[in-house]
Amino acid sequence: MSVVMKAAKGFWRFVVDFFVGDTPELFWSALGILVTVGVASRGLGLHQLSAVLLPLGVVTALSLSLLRARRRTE
Amino acid sequence: MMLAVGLHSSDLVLVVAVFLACSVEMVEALTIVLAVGTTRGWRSAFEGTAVALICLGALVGIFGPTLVRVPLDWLRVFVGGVLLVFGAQWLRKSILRASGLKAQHDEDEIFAETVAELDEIGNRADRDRLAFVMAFKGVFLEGVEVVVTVLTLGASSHRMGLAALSATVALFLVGVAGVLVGRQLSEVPENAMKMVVGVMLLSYGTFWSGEGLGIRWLGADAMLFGFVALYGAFAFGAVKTLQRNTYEGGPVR
Repeated sequence: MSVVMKAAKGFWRFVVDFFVGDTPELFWSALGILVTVGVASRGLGLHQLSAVLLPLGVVTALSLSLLRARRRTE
Repeated sequence: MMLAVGLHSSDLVLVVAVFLACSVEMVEALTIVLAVGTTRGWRSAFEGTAVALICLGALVGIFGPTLVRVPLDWLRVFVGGVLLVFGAQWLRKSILRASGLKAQHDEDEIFAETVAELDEIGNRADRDRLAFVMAFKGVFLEGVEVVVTVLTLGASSHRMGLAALSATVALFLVGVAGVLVGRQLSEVPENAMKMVVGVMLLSYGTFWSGEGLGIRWLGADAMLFGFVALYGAFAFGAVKTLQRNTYEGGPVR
């Protein structure tokens, strides 16, 4: 494997670890929330619903992640 | 909303968020540099720190101007998304620590562990490769998070100068405090600061990603304070709930 490929793979691993880390559920939730709100706001024109959906989605995702962490200690 | 000194209310949140985020990360980096310096000698520790700071400066130089050229709506969605992920990670960790489900970040312990690790290796030289690498890694890895925070918050609000200034002041104050105290800054209420930063990053992330996706927030900039209150109340409630239901088990990752 060339040095460039190794460096690229190492960099990719660093980026994934940096943004995803040990909480992949938060990364995928944020992505899901943005796509859903984007469709609701830009696609369907539901701006007011989107304004509620976004913070609600964040609180829900964080709550589920905390519950998951608590279950790991049981 | 404008404040008396001519700053927008969003600028205040920006300055506080960047300042606290930089302080927390710099305390962590300083602990490693102090451990390396006292164990293996200061020359290589300072060289590693200096090279890491140059690399971080280069990152800002490369990505700063590029980010500013991205169309505003796309930039806000991207930046908002990054801040949502970062903010959620910071807030989750600080809630778990405050509720006793995760071990507190202990600067004294990190210092002792680093010193023990370096002592075991022995073989000191005038130019110590190991000390250089440890100092570089500590400062660079902690610093990348600072760079991402400064770039994303600064670029999306078009206040890169203000964000950079806030980060520089934090860097300077933590550095001076480290030199004056002469040891790791274990008295800094790191978890509380981390929780405040998590709340602020989440608030900014919600605000910017919403704007980028076409939402016009009620009260415009002032809505940021609404999000700070919402996520702050959530964090408080989550800590209290988890404290009540804490099981006796090992800390989670």
